[in-house]
Amino acid sequence: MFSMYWAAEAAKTPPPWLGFVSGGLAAQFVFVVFLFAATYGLIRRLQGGGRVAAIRKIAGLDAINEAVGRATEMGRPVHFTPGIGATSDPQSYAAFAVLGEVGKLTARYDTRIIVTTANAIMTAITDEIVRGAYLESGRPDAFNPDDIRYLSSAQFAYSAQVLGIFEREKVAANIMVGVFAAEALLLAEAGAQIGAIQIAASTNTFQLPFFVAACDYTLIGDEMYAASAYLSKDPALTGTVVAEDWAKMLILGVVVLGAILNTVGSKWLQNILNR
Amino acid sequence: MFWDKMQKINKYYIYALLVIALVIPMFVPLGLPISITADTRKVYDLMEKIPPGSPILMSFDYTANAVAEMDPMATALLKQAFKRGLKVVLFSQGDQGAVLAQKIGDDLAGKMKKNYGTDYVHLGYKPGGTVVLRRMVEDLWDAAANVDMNGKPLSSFPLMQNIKKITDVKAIVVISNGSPGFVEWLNYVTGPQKMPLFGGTVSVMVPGYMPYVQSGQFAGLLQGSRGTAEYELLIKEPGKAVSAQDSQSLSHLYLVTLLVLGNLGYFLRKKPADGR
Amino acid sequence: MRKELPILVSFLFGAVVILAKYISLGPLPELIKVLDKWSIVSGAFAFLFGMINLSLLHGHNVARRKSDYLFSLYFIIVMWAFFFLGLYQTQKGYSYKWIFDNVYTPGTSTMYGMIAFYIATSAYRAFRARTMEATVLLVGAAIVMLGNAPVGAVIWKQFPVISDWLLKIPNTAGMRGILVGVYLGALTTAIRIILGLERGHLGGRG
Repeated sequence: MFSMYWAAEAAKTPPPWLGFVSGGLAAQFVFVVFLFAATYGLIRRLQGGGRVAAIRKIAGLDAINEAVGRATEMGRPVHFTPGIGATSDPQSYAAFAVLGEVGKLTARYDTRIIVTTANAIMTAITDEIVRGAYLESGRPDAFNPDDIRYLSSAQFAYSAQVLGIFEREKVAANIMVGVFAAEALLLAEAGAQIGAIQIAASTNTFQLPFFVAACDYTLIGDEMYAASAYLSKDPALTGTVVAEDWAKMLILGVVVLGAILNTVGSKWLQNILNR
Repeated sequence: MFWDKMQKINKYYIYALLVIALVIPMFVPLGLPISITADTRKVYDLMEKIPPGSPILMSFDYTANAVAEMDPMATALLKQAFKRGLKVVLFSQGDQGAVLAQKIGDDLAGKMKKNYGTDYVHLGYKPGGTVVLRRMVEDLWDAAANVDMNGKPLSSFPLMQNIKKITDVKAIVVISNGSPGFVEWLNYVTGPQKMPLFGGTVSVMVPGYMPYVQSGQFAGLLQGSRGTAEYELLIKEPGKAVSAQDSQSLSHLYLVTLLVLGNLGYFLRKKPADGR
Repeated sequence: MRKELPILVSFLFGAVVILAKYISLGPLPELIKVLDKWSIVSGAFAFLFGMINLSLLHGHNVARRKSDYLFSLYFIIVMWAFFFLGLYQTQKGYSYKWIFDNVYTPGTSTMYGMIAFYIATSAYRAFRARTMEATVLLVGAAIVMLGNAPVGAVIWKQFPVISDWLLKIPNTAGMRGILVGVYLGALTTAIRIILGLERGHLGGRG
């Protein structure tokens, strides 16, 4: 059994023309270069007035307006959380894009927004984003820094405080975009119990089922990474989403080819990918 | 009318019944038979096949909130490792896991007459996330800042003399309830170095980990409290997990009943005018 | 300059880290070791930054005698006391361990345990067979729940078998699809940050 693992050392030397790449990573390197090139190419094409496919409708992102609108009608606050992640997680950047949009809407409708975070650096960044959104909407005086709150870095201490905020402040809309772990259902079910309209987005496959069950709208997996392009309608950002789809097609092709080759007993592709 | 009322039932009744379902079997055990699944047997076999005297690394990548489910799992795995005479390097990717590992490690070592420094060493938690794992591949001592959990130099432990790089251990055994956990070990250590990676996780993470189990990237996975119970039976040391299975049975049955009742109520209640 | 400088820094460091992963030439391997250390130190600073932020917020509550200001006072005292205790005793100290075992662990386990109650109410309230897809999910969930507990096999021997199949075949297929998308999305986001296209985190209009 164990010798199997050690024997798999096999062909870990990259092909000569990729001699500068560390062994075992040549295929990955080629893939990353492909993704960079596709992104760059698509952005150039879009900037030159070219056209690429548009992003399909994402109901969860369209519903942000509805959620803030509902909170405005009810005269109750909107709660936004980027989850318990830090700036090292790409999901946090999707959260920043959505928060920018939510901040602009709450500023425009004069609705209170409470942002809670579980990481001090995230607090500083979210503060800056909401402040910027209020400034841009011409209402810098309406921004309340006390509503951008760092609660705790401990997952469940954080959730306990969010539950408290839900009960005390009776939030009408709860938007959760970012990194969520075991606290996902705690937040989502507590939000449902106070009757808040809820939008959630996470790439955490363990928690997605809970979000789907308890929230009104859920962005599943990489949908959330399209948020900044979708909300800003910036052609360069749209280009990156299209490049991602190209890469997905490439991977799909490799998967299908690999399945066929493995079925007929050929290790050719596997060896290439291991080099 | 009845179903309309049922739809608006006070949530505290639902909570109270759940407590009853969980508590009753603690006083009146049902003793339902626990069958051993292939997944659990695989983890057991992996541990059995490591030659006695070989070193392994056990990473306690769980947090204090999950002790009820994870402590028995970690205990069962470490117990078998000690029983088989394996040398164990304890480690944690989180600060909490390090404290939990020390408790379990020292407890078991005391009971099974294992000596610190020769039979096991606890590296503790080293801040830096995946940077530490990447460093272990080249120089495990440097990654651990040359000291164990208590700040003693690694050079003072006979066990560490032959463990200079992560590839000097025969397997990575991970007990994890989230991130950082298995995936970090896979991406930075066991994947590139082609080392065996196995262990166990909480039930809720099992569906998400199945792709890795199916592809063989995780050589074996104990699945939550149920997996631990089976493992305890395999090593012939029935413990907390075995006794928790009756509570698990009743609570799962209760949840399925709630699903059925909720749906019956949904379809049988008086429909509002809009037809929803 | 307020935006250009962060973008330039992101580009430089992002490019170095990506290159160093694949290419071990020249100064790259040494450079990456230095960067790794920087990342550890700056991460540790975030905690202190957070504690100062919290102290200011709650200090403000106490100074203004806001409602429940006593909780704020209690919070500040406990947080700094535990911090200094940790510094003084480290993780192996008796008092530190006592607080960890008898206050922190039960508290956090309780919050985690509460999920069970929330699962119960959401099973009753939210999992409805409204559509064909929802019905499939519902039936699947019930089978996996029964298959995972010893009682399932007592009711019907096939529950564990079907549950195992559901987890290993349809679930794995779905998860793989999501995972490929998720990792690609993360990679694309990283590329956007490195190229300075993703600017949400810089505040204001991008």
